[in-house]
Amino acid sequence: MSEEHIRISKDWAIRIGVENFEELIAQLKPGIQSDDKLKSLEDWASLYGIRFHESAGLDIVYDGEQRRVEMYEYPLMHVKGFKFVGYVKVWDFEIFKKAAVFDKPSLIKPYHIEEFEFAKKKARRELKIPITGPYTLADWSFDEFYAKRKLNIDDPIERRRVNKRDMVLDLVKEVIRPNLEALIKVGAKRIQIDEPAATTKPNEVDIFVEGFNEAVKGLDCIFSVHICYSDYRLLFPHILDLKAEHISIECANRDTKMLGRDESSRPGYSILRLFKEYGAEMKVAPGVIDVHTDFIESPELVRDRLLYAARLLDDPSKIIASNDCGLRTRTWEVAYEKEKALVAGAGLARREFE
Amino acid sequence: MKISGHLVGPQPRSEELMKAYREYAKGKLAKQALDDLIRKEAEENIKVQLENEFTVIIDGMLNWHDLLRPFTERLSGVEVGGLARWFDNNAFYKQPVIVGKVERTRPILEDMLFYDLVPPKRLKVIIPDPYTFLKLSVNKSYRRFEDLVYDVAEAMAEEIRALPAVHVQLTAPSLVYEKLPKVEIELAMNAVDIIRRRYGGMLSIHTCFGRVGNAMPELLDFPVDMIGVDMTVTPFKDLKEYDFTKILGMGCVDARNTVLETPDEIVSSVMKVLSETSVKQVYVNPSSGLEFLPKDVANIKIRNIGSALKLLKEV
Repeated sequence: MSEEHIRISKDWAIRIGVENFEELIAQLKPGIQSDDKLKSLEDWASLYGIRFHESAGLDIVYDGEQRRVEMYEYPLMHVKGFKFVGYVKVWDFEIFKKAAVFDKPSLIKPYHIEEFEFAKKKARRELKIPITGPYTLADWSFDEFYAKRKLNIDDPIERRRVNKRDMVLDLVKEVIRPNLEALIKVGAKRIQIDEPAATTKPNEVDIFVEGFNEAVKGLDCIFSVHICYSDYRLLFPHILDLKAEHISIECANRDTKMLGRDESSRPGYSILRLFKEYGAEMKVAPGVIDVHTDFIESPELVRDRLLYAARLLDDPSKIIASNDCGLRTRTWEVAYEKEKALVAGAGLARREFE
Repeated sequence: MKISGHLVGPQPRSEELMKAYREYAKGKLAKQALDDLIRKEAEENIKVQLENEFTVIIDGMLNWHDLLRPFTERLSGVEVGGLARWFDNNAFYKQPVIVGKVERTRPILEDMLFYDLVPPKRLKVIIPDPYTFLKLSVNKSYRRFEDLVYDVAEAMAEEIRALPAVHVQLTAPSLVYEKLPKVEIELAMNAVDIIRRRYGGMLSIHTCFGRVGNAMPELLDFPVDMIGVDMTVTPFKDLKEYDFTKILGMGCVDARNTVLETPDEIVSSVMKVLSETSVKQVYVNPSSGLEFLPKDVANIKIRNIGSALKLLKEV
């Protein structure tokens, strides 16, 4: 690690209020790292993640998934029945390491406990823990197991649907639900299930809903779902049955940067109309921060996005201010400014109702 | 009977190339080094197609971030917009945003294709069909959608005329992804006709990610020589039901799953189509671009097609 890296680590620690950071700095010396030291660095990364969110002013925090390689690869490292087969492109320069299911999945051990227990000890604000959902794990994997079965179904799309449903329900039973139960046992009160793939196949949206509901059935915890970069129209009407407190969706990516609370300024939020029209009971967290640009949204832009969303939903108490998605593709500097704008903009929006 | 093989979409980038793109984006790799690597991989792509005796050859489209991008970036009147999902895949493209009259004011593909690596009279070029390009766009400028479709078709026709390709494929997932009103399919057909009138080589339309029945029977009247079908989502009865007078681009090798089709399985699929439908001539191909697979798996699939073609010669 270079002197420059060490200086940056120190500067950020001061800026976001990481306690006892001198101990970390002492560790950041060149040389071979022992396993214990690496383990300790994971804890430090997690602490930085928590303080980053807290000092930006967020009400509900997590550690930014600092211990995870990535939202798909990390869980599947802890599941039997999958093998990684190589990298594939998602868009432009973004890639992921994709696996194939070759046997019925089974959990090696719950994989977010350590992360949660550490965060629980350190967090000063309400804590959530994200977990990748069963439909996304299934949809993002190649299928060398279920698809090899002989089914007496001529329509290949229907055959794929049957295979997918079986895979999702196996993942729920063998992997996701045991994880959720283990997290609740150690004190998790708020779990976000990430399902960015939910609308990928329009004729399978009900499978995503069924998988989610089976996973959370009877569990004592607040569950939410995060779905990004999707055609949200496809969620309806299935989403009305989802047993989630709120749904977090990406909107800023498809919005303009102009101030304003009218339709032409706020095209990214038109989907909120459908939530209203269908009478959806869940709260909605529309993304008001675009995570794929370095453009820093002004608090006023965040405010206008939130107020317009609240108007379309006709109930400001059902709106939660949120980012479009994770900020991992941005620098810390950009991400921090964006989060501060999110908090400031939410404050401005709240003031309109005081 | 001559049965041919060809590819129908972008090839996967190797892990090395994907990482090089990321390094380049971060300013840690020089443009020349990236370009050299792309050219090297284009050569490899061409080699594997030649080894497997594919009739026409693509360069792999390794420098296209998505199928629409060269046109999104280089057509006058079009700007690059936000991310949107690429049909039912965990893959995304940047939406073209139509902000003014669409025109081809400069070459689009000239510096993106590796013509010089492909043997003479074997170059195949793949572009989106005008209708699909615009169904995936955001129109902020034209009052009438059909005027926009025709302007894009004119621009694409002009571009194709300038290319030394013996085979041009129009990739048209939007025609089959869902069932379209007849009037929409006719609009798409008229747009293809604009291209047909300016291009004398083999013209094909490749449908993928949806059953071909969604565009039947109108698709059979398109002014093209070949119709590509994604057999991984098309029930067999969609082919049986109609009198298929054009060449079939038979997408019987799944470009979106790692399960490998053996050469024998490919042969048997082709024989079934030839014996049970009205199809007279077949090109064997993957169901779509192999870009969804790791490169080594994609290459095995290409070799399996090559082996199947050899077996079919003996039949």
